Amino acid sequence: VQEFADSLIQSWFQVEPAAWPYTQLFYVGVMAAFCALVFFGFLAPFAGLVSWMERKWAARIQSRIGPNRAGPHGILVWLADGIKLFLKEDLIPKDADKILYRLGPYFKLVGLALAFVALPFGAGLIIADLNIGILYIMAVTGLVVVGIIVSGWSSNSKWGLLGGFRSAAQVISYEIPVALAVLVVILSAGTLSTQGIIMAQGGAPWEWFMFRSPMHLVAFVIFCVGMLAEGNRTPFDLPEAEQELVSGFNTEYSGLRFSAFFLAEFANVWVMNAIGVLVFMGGWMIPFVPAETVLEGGLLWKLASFGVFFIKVFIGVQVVLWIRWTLPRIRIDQMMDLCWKQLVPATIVLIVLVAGYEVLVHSAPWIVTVMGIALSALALAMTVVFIRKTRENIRIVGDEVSMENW
Amino acid sequence: MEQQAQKTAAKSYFDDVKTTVNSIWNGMSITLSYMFRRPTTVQYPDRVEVPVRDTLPDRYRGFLEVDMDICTACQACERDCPIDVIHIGIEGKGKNRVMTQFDIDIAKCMFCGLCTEHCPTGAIQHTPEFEASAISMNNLTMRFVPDPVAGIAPYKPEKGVEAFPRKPLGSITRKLIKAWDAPDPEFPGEAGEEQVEEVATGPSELAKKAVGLTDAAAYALVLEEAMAGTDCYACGYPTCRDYSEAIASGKETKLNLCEPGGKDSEREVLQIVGAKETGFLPPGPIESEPVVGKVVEAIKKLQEGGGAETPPAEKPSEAS
Repeated sequence: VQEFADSLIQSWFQVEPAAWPYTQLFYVGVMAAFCALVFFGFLAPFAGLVSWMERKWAARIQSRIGPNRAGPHGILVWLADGIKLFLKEDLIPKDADKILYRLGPYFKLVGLALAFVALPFGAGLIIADLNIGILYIMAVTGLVVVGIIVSGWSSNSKWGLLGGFRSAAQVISYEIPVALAVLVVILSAGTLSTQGIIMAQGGAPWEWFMFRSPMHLVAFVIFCVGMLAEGNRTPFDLPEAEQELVSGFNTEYSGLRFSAFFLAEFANVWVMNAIGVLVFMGGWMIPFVPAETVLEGGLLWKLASFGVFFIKVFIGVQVVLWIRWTLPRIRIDQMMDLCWKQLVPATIVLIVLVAGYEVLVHSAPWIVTVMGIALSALALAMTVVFIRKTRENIRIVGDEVSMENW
Repeated sequence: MEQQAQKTAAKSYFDDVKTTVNSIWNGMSITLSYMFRRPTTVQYPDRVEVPVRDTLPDRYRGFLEVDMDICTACQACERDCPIDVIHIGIEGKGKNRVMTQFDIDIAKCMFCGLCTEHCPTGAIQHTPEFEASAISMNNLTMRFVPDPVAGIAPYKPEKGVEAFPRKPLGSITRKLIKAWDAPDPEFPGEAGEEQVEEVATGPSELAKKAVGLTDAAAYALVLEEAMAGTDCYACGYPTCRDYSEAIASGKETKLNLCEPGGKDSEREVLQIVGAKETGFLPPGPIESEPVVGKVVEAIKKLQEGGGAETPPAEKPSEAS
């Protein structure tokens, strides 16, 4: 993007970027424009589609059909929702802290939007490849919790306040295992830059950090659990536990502000999966194609890399939705117990083990390949076992595979 | 002991992990399996494979239906109905008996089925029809006699016959239900007011007809239309026609004798007489007093012996 901005400066203002006093300001402007483009051109429709997919998953898992009237298979239902929310009255409770109440949703959105500064979409498709990229993402996604607490506190409602506090406890706690799990990968990659971490991996599954060693695999699982908790997704959706807190921190919100929360929630699903993909699953790397070919290649290569990244994230999103409709919500004490007594100690042990493992790899690099192939073969075998088990689950109750009745 | 306790603690830790992983593994498999099964949802009403009425049991009590072709006009159903939902109108005697009305108010019907039990031919029966909606409750009355003027002759079953040629159950009611979607019938009061306004904006149609009439009988017919038409005898004549003929022939000079018609009839008659005798057509509403007054004056002049001298100055422009 910096090169692009430089070329813009040269063509628009006919000055040398390095000598121009407003260069940095111009960079910020271009970045903001890109951020807005990503957010509203890509993320908002994606969030809408995820909300549709979520309802479809929920429906199928509960033996229902789900939205199927607006557009083919109800795919436009999110537009109808959006228009409806747009037309609703934007209500502010009488005794609410009006300024904070209005700002709350934007804190949450800004926290997410900031993450996109360093989050890649493909080879070269990144707003700013910060050298502390992954650390930056971890830090700014913590801003989401500010939005949640602010909106919970300012709405002057029991439900909102309890939801906000729960969220604060939860997100801050789970930052730690997530960051430590990412640290495991950073030890192996030797860089904090998001593009650097991706390029330290390969396109094929056995080159992914996920399958670098059993420790990495465990770190991946811990990362997934922590990310679910950070994104307030089931089974960790305590901040908006419907049965106890009506809707948690967003109870009092309506209209467009409410839809901002929803946009943030579903955009967050993308963010957490994108982080997972770039850290553990090879990012945008195309299998059997070296990173240089893609980086120096033309637009088609870039698009292909985006496609790879998108497919990986998309599958991850489906798994997140699938988990939501499978696992029940855990209690708040169980959640804290899981974080501080199980995940944090486990990650610390993992870091020590991986540090030793990397020393071993340094002297015998072939271990990585052997481990990678062995673990990815194991994962493949597990997938096959899982599919067979699923078919058995269908057969055992006398049902059959049927994709009818949409 | 301490070592053992530590062992059990470690064991329970890993047991917990194992249980968690195991239950997630199984649970995810089960939920995924539902993704590939047919949802049990029935997409009623527009995406069902068979119409629901075809899946209902034979003795389902849906909307009532009368096959008028085999109705004997015995009125058993009308008598059986505990809440007077059925109305049967019969006119004529002996061979001329016809049913002019067979209405069932489905809005009131409680689907008890008593009417169907005593029907000698099975003409009235419950159908499996149940899906219908009406914008107006007035549309909920099912009229099984399509033409009340012509009527329908009662069915005469042959002696000893036990089976009757009934039309397929539901075919008649289904057609009637379709008519339910018709728009709301106009509220009588509103419609009446509109009509009054139409009449009031100019010379009445009857007055126009009366201009230049020479035939006394035709004139009487026009006058009769202005009467209430109840043959009530209040005017002293046996029928409205007689009163009209009396006016037309000049025997009767009082024009306000029609009691049921009241003021409306009186004004209408005044207008007609005025138009006939003087050729005067009031331009404004007949309600307004100046117009009526002018007509009355013109008639008085005539009766006092003004003769056929029609004042040419009396044109509509003056009256306004």
